[in-house]
Amino acid sequence: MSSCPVVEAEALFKTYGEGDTAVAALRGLDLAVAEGEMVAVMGPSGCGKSTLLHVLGTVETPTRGTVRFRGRSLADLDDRGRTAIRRDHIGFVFQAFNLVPVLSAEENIALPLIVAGDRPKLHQDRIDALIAEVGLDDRRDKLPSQLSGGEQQRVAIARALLREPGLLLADEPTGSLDQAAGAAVLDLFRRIHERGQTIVVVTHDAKVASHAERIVIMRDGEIVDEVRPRAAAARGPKALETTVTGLLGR
Amino acid sequence: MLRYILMGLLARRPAHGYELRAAVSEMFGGRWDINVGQVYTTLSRLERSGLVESERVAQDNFPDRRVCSLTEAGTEELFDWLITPVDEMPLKQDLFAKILLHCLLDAGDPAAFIRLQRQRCLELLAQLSALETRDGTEPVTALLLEGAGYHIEADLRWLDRCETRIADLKGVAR
Repeated sequence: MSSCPVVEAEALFKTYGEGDTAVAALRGLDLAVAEGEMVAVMGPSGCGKSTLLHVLGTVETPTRGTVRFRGRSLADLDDRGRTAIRRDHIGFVFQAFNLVPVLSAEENIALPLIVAGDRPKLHQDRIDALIAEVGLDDRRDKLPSQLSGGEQQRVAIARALLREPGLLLADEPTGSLDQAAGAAVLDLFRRIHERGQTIVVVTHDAKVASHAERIVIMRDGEIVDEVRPRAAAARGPKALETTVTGLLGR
Repeated sequence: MLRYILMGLLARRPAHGYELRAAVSEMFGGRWDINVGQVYTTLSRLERSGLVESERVAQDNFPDRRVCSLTEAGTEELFDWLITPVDEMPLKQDLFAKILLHCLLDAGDPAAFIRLQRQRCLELLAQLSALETRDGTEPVTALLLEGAGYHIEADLRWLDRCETRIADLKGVAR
């Protein structure tokens, strides 16, 4: 495990517009995400959490402040350099799945290879393994329109993981899903995280967040609180038994 | 609640304390490791109220045991309980009182208290998901945990609302 954070934001400001109509989405935010860590970002709509995700993902550049990816400042890179980091080291999962409607599930998963000028056939083993991992073996030939919301999101997660990104960014991954499909997607996140995947997830869903090592709470472009929910869960089986006994109203 | 569970089990067939203890534990998927003394105390109380009756049965090489059965009054009370919806209004008075007092007192810090409560809720949710992951295949526990999770999620949403209304609450409280 490396001691250098996978991604590190320092005194981050992001302002949209200028003058009287300027809106500050981020106001001096600091965040470092360690290798293998899962961080959940929670907060009300408009608090800047999606902007934070876009800046960490090099989709947007900050107005002020620094983002370092594995110790390297993104400000030192040109557009091509940032694109290369995004393409090779960062996976994105969105609330709206963002699949290509005319491509099958398997082709959607292989898309990052095609975009990178690679040949999917050379990586068939990796593609097969991912399809099995997200539980879509018998659905690989279907178009997105023939898949349920939960299945589409699992395709999107497999696509995001294809190039083994150092950082997986997810924006409300269960936001469009019903309970059961959301639980399946959450379970998938839990498994890939247990395998060591570094994840930053923006979510309204406290249940999703409770799986993270660290939850940061945002208000008005700043982090106002930080919770480590699993510290309590790790206190040992005795504490857990007591919880359940308590629930039974003994 | 234990008294009704025992009455319900006795409505199936007469039983003695040890059998009842095992049956309660089985009913909750082994999760409720109930104290046998608690079962006997509850049975005695039910018997004094005329809801349960018992008879001594002799055993070879062991002390007599007391086999309990449900009386007619007990059957009636059990069925009344079974057909009555649970109507506890979840008003969270304790939590709300704390928030209000934080708004009222000079030394109070409602925002800090809400943050603390939110942390606690998120920790509880993480405890629940750790249990769900471990015992996910066991339906009784899974449903129980899921229900508890929904309540905590509701509390979290409500804490967010309280946080945005602190100024209003201070106005009312002073």
